[in-house]
Amino acid sequence: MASVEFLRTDRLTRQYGGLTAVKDVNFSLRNDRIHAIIGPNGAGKTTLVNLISGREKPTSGSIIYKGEDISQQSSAKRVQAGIVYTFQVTSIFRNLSCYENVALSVQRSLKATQRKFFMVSESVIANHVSKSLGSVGLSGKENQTAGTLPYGHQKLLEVAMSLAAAPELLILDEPTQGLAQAEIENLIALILEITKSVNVLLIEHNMAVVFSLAEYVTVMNSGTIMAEGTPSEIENNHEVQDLYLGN
Amino acid sequence: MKRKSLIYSLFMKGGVILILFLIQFILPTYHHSSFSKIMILASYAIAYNFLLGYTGLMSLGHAMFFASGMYTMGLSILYLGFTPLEGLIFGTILTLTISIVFGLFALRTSGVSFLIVTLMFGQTLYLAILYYNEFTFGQDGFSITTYLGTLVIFGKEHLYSNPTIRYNFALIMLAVYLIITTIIILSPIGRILIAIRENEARTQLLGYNVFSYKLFALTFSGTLAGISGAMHALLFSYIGTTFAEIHHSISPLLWTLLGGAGTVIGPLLGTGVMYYLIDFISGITSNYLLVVGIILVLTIIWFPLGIMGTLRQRWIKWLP
Repeated sequence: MASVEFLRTDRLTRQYGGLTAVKDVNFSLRNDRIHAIIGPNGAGKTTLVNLISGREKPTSGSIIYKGEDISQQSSAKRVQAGIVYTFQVTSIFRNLSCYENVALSVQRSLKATQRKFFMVSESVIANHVSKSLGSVGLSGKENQTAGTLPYGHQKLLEVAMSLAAAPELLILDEPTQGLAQAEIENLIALILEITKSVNVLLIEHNMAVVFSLAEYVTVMNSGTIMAEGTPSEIENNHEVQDLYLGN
Repeated sequence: MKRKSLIYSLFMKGGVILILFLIQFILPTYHHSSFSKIMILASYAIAYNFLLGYTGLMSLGHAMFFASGMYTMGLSILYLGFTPLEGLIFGTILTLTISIVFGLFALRTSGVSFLIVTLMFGQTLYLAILYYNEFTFGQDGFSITTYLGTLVIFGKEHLYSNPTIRYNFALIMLAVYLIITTIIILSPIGRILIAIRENEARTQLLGYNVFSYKLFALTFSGTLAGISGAMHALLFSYIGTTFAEIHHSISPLLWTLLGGAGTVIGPLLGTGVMYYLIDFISGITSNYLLVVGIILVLTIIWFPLGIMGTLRQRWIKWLP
């Protein structure tokens, strides 16, 4: 795969009253590597991906996705364009079955790819739903109410919903938060599988996860990018060491 | 799974419709006329429930839609010499337009603000009807009996107020409402509306333009309510401001909550139960609203999801 920059931000800024959460950030994503953003709490990681996914609008600056300025597009438009965000705190339809949860995502992406004006038939949807659930290891849970799943499975369901949206850029916001060690290992394997076909942007606190997955790391602090590089470069960066060890 | 659900529930609706069709031959006159009334009001409640039960939007202004259908029908027959069919079509188009325009404004808000905005729009129409009383006959209302003419079926002439005509027209409308809403709810569009009710932010982030789906739900619900109003005018030939009052916006909310919001058959049951409850208690005491209120409170305590909602939760899972 040729290395192509497909998303970049240009002096992206987001202010909340007097607080600048993201400040003049020039950030770029390439299609040939798993990219992770790390940084202490309040560094602006989540705000940055919220800006990219369209959940928040920038105060100034722009976001260029595949050559097009998407800064003012609605979040729904961006999902349609392939930027899919997976929530830090799981956000699923708790009262609906797992089937319905994934079907909601499937029916939109299918309708878009098949360019159908009318809705896609239910049997085609059912087929894709069971594939999506299978890919995250939730086969057979179709009829279970999503809210009754164990937390780790809810996270997986959320990933299944995101994958079913046919993403080109999948943003995973702290996917391992609240998971047990065994579940984390499963998830790492799953993410490695996903990255074969989808670009992944990872936000993560767990350094072990970052260093086992990421091929490129951006370190944020106080709303700005502090350092960027390969995992080993970051590990040996004195500033980053100071930031994390508090020297 | 989905298909089974659809077939089951269409069967159930078919059964309900069949029973309602058959009992007209054995109902005493008084109940016969009550049932006609209930079926028209129930179709109004079904329209209301489409918005509340399936999209999660609570409106306090649905009387506006009902009354605009009703007044369009009445006034166009009275002043423009329209036939009932023309009046119905005109009323439908007008309510559709009003729903869209209203939705474009009201849907910029949500939750309690949406409730207040719908209430204000509803009151605006009510006050407008009173204000232009020279044209609308204000509080007195008016009758269109003498303008209606007759309905010819198989070469025989009937009056619209004929009990059999009235009953079966109401039944046809109810049947159409039940079937259409069931099909939409179990279609992919229904799935999106339910998703909006459950988690609007997530639905948006699955790539759906939530606003346009809410506008669709509101327009559909408003238009159906308008058609109910127009049919009410036609079959009972009376048009009055009681149908534009806030009271008439709250009623479908209560019927729906009693029967079960988010169930297709619930509004029909709720309307029927409430109608007979008021009918029965007002025969005993003039302070019937107090008793009705207490019964409602108790129902909400024992059946928080309404009658059908609770049934579905406990026993009949496939109920749409």
